[in-house]
Amino acid sequence: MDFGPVIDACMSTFGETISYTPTGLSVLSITAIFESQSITLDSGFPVISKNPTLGIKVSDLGTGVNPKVGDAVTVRSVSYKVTDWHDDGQGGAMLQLQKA
Amino acid sequence: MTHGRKTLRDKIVAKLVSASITGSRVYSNRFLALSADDLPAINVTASEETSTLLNLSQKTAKRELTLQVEIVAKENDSGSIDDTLDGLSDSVETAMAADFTFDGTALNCQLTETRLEVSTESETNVGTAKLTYVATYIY
Repeated sequence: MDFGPVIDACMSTFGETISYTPTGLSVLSITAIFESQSITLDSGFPVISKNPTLGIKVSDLGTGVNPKVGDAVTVRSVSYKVTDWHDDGQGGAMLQLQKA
Repeated sequence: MTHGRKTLRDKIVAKLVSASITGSRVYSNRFLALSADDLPAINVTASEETSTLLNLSQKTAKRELTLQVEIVAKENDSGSIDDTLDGLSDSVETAMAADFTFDGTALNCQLTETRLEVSTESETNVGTAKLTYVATYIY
């Protein structure tokens, strides 16, 4: 089953234009779904912080290009770096971000 | 009447506030969450105490109180979270060592353990340095 149209529908509904720079390549302007939910860290003393993630369509990065840890992202004028990512096996990927 | 344990804890908090390490963000037995925007901060807690009776009629005891001075910080532009925690630990250790009696409240106090922990799950690395002190006092 081709999930491409489903991802496209999600992107057109929830997505926004962001800048994505794969490591060693040129900056791209793509549509992605950005979220930044609150999270309580519990490394002893509880601290409330943000957990920014980015949902992308992997093919938007170019043929044969996958996300990499260290890729640069700019969303809403804030610079981030990719610290982890997971392929959903259907053409999409969820990226974990940290402020650069 | 104020328990000697609280007096000691309050003295340590006052000392760390006056050392201007984390501004006024030095707390005593705080259990409510802090926002990452309000870091760095220090939380002083007392976790355990052993005692030996000294005077039966006056019911005074020599006590050994285990205290945690927990530093919480986030990574900033000036260096890694490890650098930040080490710098803040150094400031806390220096302030504490300036007077281990805390104005005569304790007989002695010593650093016995430091534990470091870093969380990488949020938009910026957040770490804690938990300094354990054992203070001897009579109350």
